[in-house]
Amino acid sequence: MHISEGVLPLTTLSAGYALSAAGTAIGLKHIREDRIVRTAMMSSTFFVASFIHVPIGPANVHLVLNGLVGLLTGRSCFVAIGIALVMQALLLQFGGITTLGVNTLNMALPALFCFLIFSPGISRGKIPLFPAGLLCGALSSLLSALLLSLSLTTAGEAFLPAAKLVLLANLPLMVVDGLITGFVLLFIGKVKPEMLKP
Amino acid sequence: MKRAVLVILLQVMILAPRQAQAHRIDLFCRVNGNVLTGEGYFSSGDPVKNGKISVTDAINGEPVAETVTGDDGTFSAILDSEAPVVVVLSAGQGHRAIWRQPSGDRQETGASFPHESNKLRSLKTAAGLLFIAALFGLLYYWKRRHAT
Repeated sequence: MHISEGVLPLTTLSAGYALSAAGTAIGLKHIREDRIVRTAMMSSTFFVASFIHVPIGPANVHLVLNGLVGLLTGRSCFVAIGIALVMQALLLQFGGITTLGVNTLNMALPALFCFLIFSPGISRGKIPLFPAGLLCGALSSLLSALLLSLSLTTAGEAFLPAAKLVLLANLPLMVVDGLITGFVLLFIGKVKPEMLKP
Repeated sequence: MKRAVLVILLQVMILAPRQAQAHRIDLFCRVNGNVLTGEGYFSSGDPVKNGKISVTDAINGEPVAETVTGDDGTFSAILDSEAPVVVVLSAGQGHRAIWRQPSGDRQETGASFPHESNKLRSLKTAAGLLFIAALFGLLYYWKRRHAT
């Protein structure tokens, strides 16, 4: 789900950087001392998850798990995802430095949205953990794919087919991401349920 | 018991990249006379199948040739003009790689096709995880100082 260098116009890149910088600043302000280790863990998880590809038919999509990152880091998800993407761009040339803002926004905004939607219900025990994780993982993947497609459409009509393909290719990922998020929430609910409180 | 399960989960997460596939794409090309050949592949070593290859004139930007990569990630195209070319490989989902031909050498240019070794990829992954830990360590230090 990374957009490479040289694809997007300057206005999209600038808007991505501006919005991501705002999100990261808010995240840094809100991050609590006792949540820094957890945020670092989720940043590492996001960093590693992108390497694991899921071959589904002709498509080859990779795990994102931004819904899980959002649930466990809350408003600091921009920090966790932003740092992981910086490392991926610098060390592994995934995405790029110019597209860092857009890529961060595409991943972190759905994560934050899912945190705001699902976290209150999960922490109060109003929603069963597995369905909540399934929906959270699937919705965040869907929203990221939509944002990615939207970003590609700003690059011109030549990228419209690619934008449609991105959306279709990532539909199976919604299921995989949702299942993994559901199982992880079940596991956390059993061994350390206090982690699910915002 | 719970701690042991958490430790095992953490180890699985850290060791996972050994079997993972990276999704950066690389493009390597050669020009021999008027024949352009090349190969596109993911950094895992998997070939980019059915990737769109666009060849343009490096000087005026005019399209020169278009083709797609085969199942083994390779492609070839005939170049009609003598000018140096720019080759763009689009593998979908915004993944793109560009190769620019050095000007003035039409006989044979381009790199060999080196695949990034698994060991190097694992080292980079470990370095990334260490950097993340270090950055959050600095953040913790900054928060502590700011709090006092």
